[in-house]
Amino acid sequence: MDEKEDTTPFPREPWQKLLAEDGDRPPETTDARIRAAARRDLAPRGRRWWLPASLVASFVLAVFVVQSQFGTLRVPVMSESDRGVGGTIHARLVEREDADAARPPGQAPAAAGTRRAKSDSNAETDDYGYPDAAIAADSAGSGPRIGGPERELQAANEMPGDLEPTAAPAPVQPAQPAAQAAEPVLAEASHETGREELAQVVASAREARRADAPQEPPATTRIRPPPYEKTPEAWYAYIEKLRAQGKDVEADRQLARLEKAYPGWVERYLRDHPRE
Amino acid sequence: MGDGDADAQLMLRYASGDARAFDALYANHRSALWRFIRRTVPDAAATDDVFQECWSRVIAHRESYRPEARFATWLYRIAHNCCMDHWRRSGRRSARETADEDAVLGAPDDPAAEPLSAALEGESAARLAAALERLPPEQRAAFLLYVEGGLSIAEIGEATAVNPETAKSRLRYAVARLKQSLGTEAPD
Repeated sequence: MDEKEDTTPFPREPWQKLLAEDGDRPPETTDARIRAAARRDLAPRGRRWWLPASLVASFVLAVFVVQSQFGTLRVPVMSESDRGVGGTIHARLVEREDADAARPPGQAPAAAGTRRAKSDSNAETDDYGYPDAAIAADSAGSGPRIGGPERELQAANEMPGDLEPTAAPAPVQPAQPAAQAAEPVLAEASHETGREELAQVVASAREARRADAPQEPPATTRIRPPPYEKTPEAWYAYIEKLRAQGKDVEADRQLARLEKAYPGWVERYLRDHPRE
Repeated sequence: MGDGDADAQLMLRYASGDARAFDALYANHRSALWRFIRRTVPDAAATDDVFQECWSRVIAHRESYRPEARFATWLYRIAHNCCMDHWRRSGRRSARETADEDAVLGAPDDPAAEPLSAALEGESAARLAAALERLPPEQRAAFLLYVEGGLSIAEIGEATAVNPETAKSRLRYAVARLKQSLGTEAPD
């Protein structure tokens, strides 16, 4: 086979011309479809960064929405098992740091506690005596969501009698320390409403506490220190009251906690206020 | 038909992301490739499918394209494979496909016996189309690859997976039969 016969055994052009005479060609729609496919196949190469970028944007948006909805992701939450002495002491230690920072040098911690109590009393409160800050925290979702009646009942449970010097101590059951706290508050109300109404309210509060007692507490809740721990003076008065009631074991335990929370304060207090 | 090297450069540019290079490449080969497929796959409806399938393979394999051979050789090899795939899928094998080529060549067609040819008598292009339709598929493919695709004998053999001697023989038989069908209207 020679070279020419391998490449062009006969001329193509006349045959090409004859074949092209019928004018047969692909339809326009086919042309458009193929050109579009060619461009479509090129396009994804430049847009491959869109997928990871959109995923990251979605994640950031979700975090932003959660933060704006619930205030902050780092709400101090403590489980029920953490509600022991250690947990309370930790909360108090944080407050002490704040108090030490705010206290002028040479002034007793009691003064800082008094200042704090005064500023708390100056804050605006709602109908149930809760400060605006607490309501704001509640509405922001960082506090427990409870309504007015629940707050009233909660106040009755939390308010100890030793912080109300005008309240007459009511007989209490040793196995129900929470009941001790509610009765003096209600007793103060008796000055206005009368003894009979007070007895009814006390009875209803006891019923409510009994109904709540068997229920399981929530798995997680926020720690709120007892009111008598707000100032060492109130705490010490509470201990004194325990001793007066003959609860020496509980009084010693509270005294040890007070010593841990305010080292040296009891000694200074006894020195400044010698017993008669 | 565009120059082989120019087409290869266009294909490389398209592989690197230049869509306009594909437009130029498509414009260079669309008509000839359409006619090649139209003659190889006489079913008009299937022609469009095979044509699009062929270009889809070009698009899909653009990154693996290497300009070791002419672009036309690569393109018509793809087109020939698409036509063969179509025949396999449809299960339609022409009776002439299995016939002996020399026997077919030895029995000249009677134009009067062909209704289509009779109807189209006097129109050279139509008569050529009809004559092509009567060719055995291997001869028709060799002829169309040579005329429409511009492939050499060796390239035809490569595209159809036969040796160059067989490709040359098929081409020679195809031309002889077409000349016999067209008579004096056949090109020299």
